[in-house]
Amino acid sequence: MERRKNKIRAAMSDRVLDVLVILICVLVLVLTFYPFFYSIIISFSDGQDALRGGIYLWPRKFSLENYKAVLRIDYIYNAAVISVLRTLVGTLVSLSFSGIFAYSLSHKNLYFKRFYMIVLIIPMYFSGGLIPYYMTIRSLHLMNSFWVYILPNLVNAFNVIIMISFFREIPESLEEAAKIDGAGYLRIYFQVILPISAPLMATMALFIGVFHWNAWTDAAFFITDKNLKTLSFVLINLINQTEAAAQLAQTGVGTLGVKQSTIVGETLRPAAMMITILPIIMVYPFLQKYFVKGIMIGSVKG
Amino acid sequence: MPRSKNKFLKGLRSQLALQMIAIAGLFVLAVFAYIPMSGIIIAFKDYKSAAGFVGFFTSPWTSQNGFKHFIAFFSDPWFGRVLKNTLGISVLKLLFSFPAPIIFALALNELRLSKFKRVVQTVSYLPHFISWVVVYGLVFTFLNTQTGFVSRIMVDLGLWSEPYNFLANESTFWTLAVITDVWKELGWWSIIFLAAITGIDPGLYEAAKVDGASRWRCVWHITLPGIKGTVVVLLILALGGLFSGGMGGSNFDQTYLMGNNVNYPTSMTIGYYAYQTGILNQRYSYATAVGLFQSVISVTLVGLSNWSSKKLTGEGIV
Amino acid sequence: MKRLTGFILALVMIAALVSGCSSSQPASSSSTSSGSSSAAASTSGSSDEEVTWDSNSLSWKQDTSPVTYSLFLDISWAPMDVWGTDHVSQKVTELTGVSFDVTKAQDSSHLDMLMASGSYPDAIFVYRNKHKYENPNVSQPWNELIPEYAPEFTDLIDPSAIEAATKDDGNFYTLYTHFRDESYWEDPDLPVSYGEPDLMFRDDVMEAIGSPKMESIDDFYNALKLVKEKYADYTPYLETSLNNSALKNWMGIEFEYSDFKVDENGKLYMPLRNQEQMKEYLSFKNKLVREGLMSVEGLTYDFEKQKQAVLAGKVFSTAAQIYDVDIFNSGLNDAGSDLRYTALDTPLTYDGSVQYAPVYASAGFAGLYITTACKEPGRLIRLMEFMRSPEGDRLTQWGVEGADYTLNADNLPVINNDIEWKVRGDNVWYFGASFMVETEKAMVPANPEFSQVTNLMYAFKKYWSSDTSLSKCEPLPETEESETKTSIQTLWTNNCNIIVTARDDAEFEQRFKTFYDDLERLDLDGYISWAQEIYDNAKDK
Repeated sequence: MERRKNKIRAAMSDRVLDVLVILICVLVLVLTFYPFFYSIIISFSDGQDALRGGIYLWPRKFSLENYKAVLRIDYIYNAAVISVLRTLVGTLVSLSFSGIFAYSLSHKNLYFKRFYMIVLIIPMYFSGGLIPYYMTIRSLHLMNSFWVYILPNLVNAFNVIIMISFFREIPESLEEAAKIDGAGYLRIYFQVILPISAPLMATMALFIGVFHWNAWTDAAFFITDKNLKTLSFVLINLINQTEAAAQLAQTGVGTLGVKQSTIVGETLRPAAMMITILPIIMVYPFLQKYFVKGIMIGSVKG
Repeated sequence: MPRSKNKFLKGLRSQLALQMIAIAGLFVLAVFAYIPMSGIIIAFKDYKSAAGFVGFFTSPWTSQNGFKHFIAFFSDPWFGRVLKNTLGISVLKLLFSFPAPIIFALALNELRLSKFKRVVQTVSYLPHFISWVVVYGLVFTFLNTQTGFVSRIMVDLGLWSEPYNFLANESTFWTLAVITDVWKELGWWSIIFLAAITGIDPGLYEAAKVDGASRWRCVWHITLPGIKGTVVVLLILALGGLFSGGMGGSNFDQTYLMGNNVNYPTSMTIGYYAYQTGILNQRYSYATAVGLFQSVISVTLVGLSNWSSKKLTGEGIV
Repeated sequence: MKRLTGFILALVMIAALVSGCSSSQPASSSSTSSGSSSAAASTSGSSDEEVTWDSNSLSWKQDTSPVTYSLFLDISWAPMDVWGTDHVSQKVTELTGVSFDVTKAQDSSHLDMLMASGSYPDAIFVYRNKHKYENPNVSQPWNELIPEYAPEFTDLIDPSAIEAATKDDGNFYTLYTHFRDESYWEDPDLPVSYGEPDLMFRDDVMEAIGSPKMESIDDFYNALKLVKEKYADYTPYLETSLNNSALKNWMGIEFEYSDFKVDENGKLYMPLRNQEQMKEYLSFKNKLVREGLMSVEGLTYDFEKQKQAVLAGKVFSTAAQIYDVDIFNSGLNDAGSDLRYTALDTPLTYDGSVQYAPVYASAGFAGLYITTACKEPGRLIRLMEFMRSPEGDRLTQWGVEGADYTLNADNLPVINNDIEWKVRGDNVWYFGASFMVETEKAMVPANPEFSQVTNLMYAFKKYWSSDTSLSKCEPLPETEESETKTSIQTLWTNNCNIIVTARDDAEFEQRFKTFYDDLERLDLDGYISWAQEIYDNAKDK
């Protein structure tokens, strides 16, 4: 009797939970979808018309000009290739390097671990500013080199810390068992730890990949060769120039007779944003299945 | 004590591979993080950029034992206000932006409609990619007094006699900053928590079901404790970010975009103030000093929260 | 009558210059030397004839072989960041042989970063903090370069331009663009800049409230009140943070162009410190806010938002540059509306008379510096000779004749608006730009039927005077005085609207007092005495 009452109570509260969960998810869906939808509409809007405001559900004056302006950029295709290259190489290299670094630091019995952790964390908060960083890059001859995108980003303290916390959750018995079988640390990492860390690796690949895909300040300051500029930089550059040209009347020194362009920053920016987001959205499902439980076919834990 | 020294050396040898990896990683940091960090020294000097890089080391120390810039910052008439705004906004963000992704991740996890789950999760992280400038554009479109949707509706419906001034108003900035932050980062941060949830042993759930536990109890007693490690680590890092903007982000963009000289009393934060008075005015030493002040406080916060977390939960970063 | 003759005279002069120039279209006719680009031997052939801008013996014409220099362009708003993709730069290379490897400024500290790390380009073109580059450690003095590479150049330059650019060490490291000397300001028939601050009013609303006279600040206030009664959902007065000088200037307070003003005894003072005057001004604006006559949200608008508000049709009056009234009217016209704005052609009076008395205290806008890193400055200084010539001036500010502009009957340029700015390239490489050539562009409006800017440019001239000694009182960056200056600016920017939006008298008093307490805590007396010394020295010269 008790059991049944419990079961009924459980079933009812389960129902409440279901409703609540659905409500939360719908709320989040609407709230996060609308701004994205809004950006899409604006990106297809005529610039001068969009500035009048009042666009909410569909473009009042449809225009492909914003996208055309982006595609007209001089070296955009080259920049896109560079970005893809940078993202692939950067993610792979960073992930491998950071991963094994984190693995090492996740060992409770590591000598000097505390010291290492402190050394890792300090640079997250302390920085000497742009000038010394610029000097460092210059002295390493990384100016105008593709590797300036990759090497400084090998270790990202935040990601490493997350990875350490995940690795720490792995039961030590697994490692012990492998050690008994005679495996060295490196082999353990590749053959034992990595296979069960798919959710972590997928998440980190996403974070690092997105970072590389969107990063543009290194291209701005350290690369002058047009052929090495990234897509993100090229797009930001276009937006800045467009907005600057529009604001010219205010500096009191700008060009006069500037034609009122139909391309304005307000509509150009969402268009550039869409172009940037598209590859991410396309790649995302492949990573998503690893870290959202219930989506992946065939569980991996065990 | 030869025997313990022997033990130490032996232990070291057995972890040789690990030590070398650790040192390799720290070497990268040493080159790209610590060497440039030496530039912090100009916070204590009267550095002029005309002196070049050498000037970092040859410039004279400032008066007041090198602390002139810090004292100037502390005695700046806006110091108190700026501090209050930074802390106030960060604490609010912590209170809302931190639990929100956790709750959402838990909710998503409990969702049983797999297709819907996939859609929601994919859409939820999209705002993270929308730049703050576009966010502000959206905010402006909805809230401005001339053509804003909210203002129009409220006036048309007769609820307001005239449009409410959302954007050039001291009382609204904190709310706007927190709401936009939660909305923007909710989906993105939830990813980490979702990944952590996948690490929980499914056997625990099965055992609980046999005992007749409701799903509420599963969430409360299994899922939540299961991601405790991740939550603690992120919380410590977020606390460290209190002075720069909460949750590992920075509130610079928000002040830069949504701040204006009508709402500066509540929107001016340390980051933006350092930019305005330091970088824009080419007071590089001063800007570095302010940055250093933020860094020291942040690291102290991280240290404190790490220590208290270890005392309370036994887990921490270091 | 006098004004008209002056105008005609100016046009005749311009026509003469233009026709004189266009008759000497250069080909690469005078390129003699082949390899040696920067050879010092560039003395003009027949030194008997007087050298003019059209002489074939000009140094820059002697060698037009290709040469490339590195350039840092601190014009962050330029639409391109390479040389050679637009008409202007292509033409410059065609005429002089010079090309540039360009680095464009990413943000305000980009140049500092470059210089601090010791990587100087051959040339830098900057408009901010120019004085930082005016010392022999950074730049090569032109008074040494010109005699060596282009000796006749000195004869072609206005001595006042050289004097304005000469530093205490007797050298001058550049010639400033857009420089206007004392004689320019003393001539009442020359125009002011098209950026002159002004107020403008909607014609139809003015009529609807009875076309009241608009001569004083009180008239202005009364008109706003009438508008508020009649048009409940209109914004009577829109003022933004970018265009907020008109009212202030017309009430007699002006500190946009220099922190200082000079009194009858030659003593410097700071208008901002006059609390009595400032209180009158700020409480007037506060009154406007409290009575709903001025939009609070509008205080935060940039120009684009201001324009949108104007185009949306519910703004009675607004403060903007005189050029903007044409922009607003064009925008309204393009949108199919026949609403129009009219800008005032005299300043409003205050306390019974015109208080507006601005003083031009600037030495020019931008300058091109040849750095110590430049190994072969010869061709570069000669390029500057070209840039300063009327031919180079017009090319770099107007574009290529025929393709980018055509001359109208008054010999003013009609810019071809069908070509993008990025393709024209005007106002980017304008290293030797002059004020008049730029202003002439503004005199040819896109919509002549309702353009007001040209008349306004002449209308406001009479209120201006100039003081070149005052222009020397500009602190070097990263000094104590520059810190004081920037602190003053920051305090004013951050506080002015807070005071203005106070909700009642008590709050107004308190915020006003706080601002001045903070302001007076800075070493303002020290700043003034520093400037006084410089001013007195400059006046003595």
